[in-house]
Amino acid sequence: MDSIAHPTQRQFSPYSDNGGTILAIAGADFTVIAGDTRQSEGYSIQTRYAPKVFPLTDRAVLAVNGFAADGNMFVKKVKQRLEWYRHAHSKDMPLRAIARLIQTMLYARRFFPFYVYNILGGIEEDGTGAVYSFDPVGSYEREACRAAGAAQSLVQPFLDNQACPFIHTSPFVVLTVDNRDIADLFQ
Amino acid sequence: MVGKDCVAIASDLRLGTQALGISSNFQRVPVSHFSRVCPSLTICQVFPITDRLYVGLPGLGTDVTTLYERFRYRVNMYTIKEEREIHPETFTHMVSSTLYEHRFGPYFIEPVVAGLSKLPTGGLKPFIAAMDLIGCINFAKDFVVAGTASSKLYGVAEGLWEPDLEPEDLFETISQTLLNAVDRDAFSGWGAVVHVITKDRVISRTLKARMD
Amino acid sequence: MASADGGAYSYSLTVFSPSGKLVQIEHALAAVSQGTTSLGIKASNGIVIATEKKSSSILIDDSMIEKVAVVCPNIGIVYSGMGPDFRVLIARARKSAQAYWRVYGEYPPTKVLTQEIATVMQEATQSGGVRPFGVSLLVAGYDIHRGPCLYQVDPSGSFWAWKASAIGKNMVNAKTFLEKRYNDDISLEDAIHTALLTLKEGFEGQMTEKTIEIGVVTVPTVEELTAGKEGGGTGRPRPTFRKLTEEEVKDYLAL
Repeated sequence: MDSIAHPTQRQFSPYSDNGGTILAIAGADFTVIAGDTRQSEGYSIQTRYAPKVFPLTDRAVLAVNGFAADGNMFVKKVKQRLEWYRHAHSKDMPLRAIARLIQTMLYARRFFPFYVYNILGGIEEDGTGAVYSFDPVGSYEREACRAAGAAQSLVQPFLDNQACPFIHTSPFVVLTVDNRDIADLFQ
Repeated sequence: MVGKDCVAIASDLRLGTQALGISSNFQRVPVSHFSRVCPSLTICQVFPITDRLYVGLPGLGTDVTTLYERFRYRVNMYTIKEEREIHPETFTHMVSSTLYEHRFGPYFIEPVVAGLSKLPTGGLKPFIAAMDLIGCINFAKDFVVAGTASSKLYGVAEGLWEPDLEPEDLFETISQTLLNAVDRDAFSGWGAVVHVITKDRVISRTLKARMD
Repeated sequence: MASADGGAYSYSLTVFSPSGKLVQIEHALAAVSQGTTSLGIKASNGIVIATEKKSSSILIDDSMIEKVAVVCPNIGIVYSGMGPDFRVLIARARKSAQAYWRVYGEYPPTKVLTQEIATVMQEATQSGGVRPFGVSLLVAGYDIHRGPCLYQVDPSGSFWAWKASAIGKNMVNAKTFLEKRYNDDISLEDAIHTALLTLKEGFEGQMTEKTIEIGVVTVPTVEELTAGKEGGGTGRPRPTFRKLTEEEVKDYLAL
């Protein structure tokens, strides 16, 4: 028998990826924001109904994707801050202010981040539809459309094409045309 | 992509090592004979095999060249020995077995085949297929994708493609799919080329794309 | 020159005689012409190949003897000459067909397989330490490119396409007979009967389902071809070459 006690190493991984996809499209005076409801870990499905799109105010909806526990906690904290704002100012926080608030809250955790990709959709004070997207540490940008999550690479170029064609080459230009009969082509 | 009595095959023109772009016109042969497509050093070239059969070879540049030369050799030997043109299905199996010969030290290429195959009735049927780098064949009925932008291509193609597109509509669909996908892929882009193969002609077009 | 004993050029090496002959090959052809008669007829809608199988003793279990062999679903071969040599060639042909399948996902056209076998036979006329194969073959098959084809391969490795041919002991008479009976639009059924009649010409003893072997190539319909291509289940086309069962041979003999 080995009577000597060996040191053992234990590890705790604070993050996991719970899959899913979210997206938002800004219109002239509206915004569409959506997400699937499956929550999974690896190849296992934990539940088929765990919403990740949350109304914040009458004019703001937040979609969170990534680590579900962080997402839920983050939404809870944002909602809490919005309530404090209502108590202080007797009105809902405007969309662009919510966006800045989210940046601040995310960056506050710069060295132990919420593992969450946020998309904020809603109506600005001037009545235009708006989409803001964030990385986990608070970089953010107002965009015409955005997808995030497991199917981001599939959905984003499709949104570029369908929802915001003006930012891309469309209608594209044909540079050269080689339109010959097969007989000519191969002599 | 499969259309109504036609197929289309398209590729970008970038040659680069990961983030470093080297050439936006990696083309050693006239377009009428060879045109190239897509994605170390990755590119994609589209080559004609017969007048109604094209192959796209996205992947490691040196392997694109080597494999194409192998296929040219094997197809020429086949044509002479069998005294007939190779069919798309047969060519696909040839490509697949060539790749599987190197199962444990593979060529870094994921080929795409597009062509019109002859039916026993005498008609022509659109044929497309794609393979992984060791030759596992995917005979798709709608579209196949490969290269560094493959997941992006899947997303757009899944949304834009519909059955029985006429040649011009198929051209529009495959072009939009390719351009929108490569514009979201850092390793693709820098121009594009599209071939639409129909019963009696091949329509080849070079597209203007974002160069950033 | 070839003398009765083979002369000075009849040793195991296949060497040209001064007159330009390869005597070993002529000896091989002699071995073929001692073998039982086999024949093949190409009909408008198929091909028949047939042979007599004779066993030297009634004590031999003739159900073991196979002279018409299936190479792959679209090609069959019959031989005259030396059984063991045929067995080796069939093994090579089957391997070759499967190698072709592995590369191209389809079985070889008749001409390609014939070429392949002919190459094997030719090599035996030019390699050291071997003798030529003592068989002639009739290769019958169907492929979508050329349709039904009938080839004869000789020990030299040369091969030709035939409309009808005979090899073995009675080949001269059989060919004369076939020349009289053959026409371009003969049906497969008629061709089978002609084949049996031709065999009967030089047959010693009783022609029964035990002493006759028949293989047929049938030309598939467009529907069958399409179904084969689309791949109903296995993705493999239905066989176009098959051997007739003893019952079927019996029925043809009765007519």
